[in-house]
Amino acid sequence: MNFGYSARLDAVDIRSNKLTSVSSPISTTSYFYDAEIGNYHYGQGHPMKPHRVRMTHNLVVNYQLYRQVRDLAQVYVHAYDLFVCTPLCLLPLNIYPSLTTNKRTT
Amino acid sequence: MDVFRPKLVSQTNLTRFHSDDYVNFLQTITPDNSASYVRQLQRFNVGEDCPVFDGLFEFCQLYTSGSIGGAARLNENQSDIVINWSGGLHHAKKAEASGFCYINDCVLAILELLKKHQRVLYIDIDIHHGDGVEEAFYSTNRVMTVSFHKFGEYFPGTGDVLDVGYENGKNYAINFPLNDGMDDDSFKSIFRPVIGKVMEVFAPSAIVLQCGADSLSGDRLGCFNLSLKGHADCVEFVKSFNVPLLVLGGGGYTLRNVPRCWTYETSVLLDTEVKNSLPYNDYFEYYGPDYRLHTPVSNMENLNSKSYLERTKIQLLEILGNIEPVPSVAIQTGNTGTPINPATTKIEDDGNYDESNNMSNKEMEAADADRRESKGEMILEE
Repeated sequence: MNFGYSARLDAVDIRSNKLTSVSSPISTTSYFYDAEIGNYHYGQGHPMKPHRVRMTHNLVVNYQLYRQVRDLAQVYVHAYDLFVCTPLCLLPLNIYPSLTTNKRTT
Repeated sequence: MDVFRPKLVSQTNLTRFHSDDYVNFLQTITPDNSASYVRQLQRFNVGEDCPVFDGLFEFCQLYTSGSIGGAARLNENQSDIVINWSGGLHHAKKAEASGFCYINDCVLAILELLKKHQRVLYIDIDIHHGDGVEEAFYSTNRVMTVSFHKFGEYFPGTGDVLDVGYENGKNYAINFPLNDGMDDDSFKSIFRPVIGKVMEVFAPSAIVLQCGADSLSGDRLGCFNLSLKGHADCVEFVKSFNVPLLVLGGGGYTLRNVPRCWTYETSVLLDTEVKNSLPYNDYFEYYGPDYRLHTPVSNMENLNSKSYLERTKIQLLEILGNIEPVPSVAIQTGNTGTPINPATTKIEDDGNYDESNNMSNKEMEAADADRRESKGEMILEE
């Protein structure tokens, strides 16, 4: 059965600066979360609150227990702007390696 | 840590455990049309504890997808530990909702793990008995269910120490019934020996850990007195065996404590220290007045006497001593890169260790040991 991880794994690969094959083992811990889960509501006064999972995730994020995928998107935007806004002759020759080894600030 | 948004599983995947008509019903029912499904609502126990709400089926799909997807990731050796705090809804039955649970993602995740793993261990530290999971695997020796829970005039009412499984599964369901006011030290004094023994005699190749946070002190529905550290100690201990681990959420009804608990346990699983003062976050006001991660426990009385805990512990260790060291069905080969069980590497220290075949080696070792010695001697030796 295929759960279709490939798109996500690509992103993760780049994040950890490893542009290797998608199936290679990357890290030891994975975390599953869908932001939709916190929107469901059992009804007024019901003790079960899916919102708690969203609160947990928010706390995990703010403790910086993982580096957000959103940050990665910003790296892309930055690199793209650099590429588009710089005259071609001024671009360093190693621009492509620099995209892949670009160290993110934590 | 890698973060994934689970891909939704199809309805067919849910029917690997649940009955077709129940899953169909969950997909059909909405608050608007529920008036015309009165008979089914009763039959499937949907109504009071398990209400019909908007997007019910998508909600079930979401949390189940995380658990099944996590199990698949473990199967593919892409992770050693997978966390899904949305999952762990352990009360749901084959054709019945129960205790706020509709689809039993724990069972479905274990079924996924069983595709690759010969033996899977399920540990449940929710204050409620993990009845749905126990029932699903009550007659098999490929899944051992271990639950620590409040017992006696408490939902769901099952989980007596004498319920140990049936037929092939006899002695493969372990229940530790507890009274109000369990504290950290008491919990540690029973959890570690029991789980240590389980790991020794059952030697699972994958573990599912349900971390219901309603066993924490001050829970709205729970009546234990565990601190975050006492709760997370279980996670740390299970992690220390280095067996592929799926960590699920579960209960937890005091809104400010659940995120504290699961965040702390995430940090434990990542081997990362976190500050006691909470960082600013979107829900900061929930954590007042102290805004700290660790909260004090209450002074409630612990109704579990030392002698009761000791007696029950010995009773369970005896049950565990009765099981065959390695269950009946022999696995033929393991896949390349099967995570190495620390116990296996110790046995195979002579350099002839073949990683691609470690399961069968281990089985042969155990079978040899079985032939050489009687069961009683083996236990003494260990």
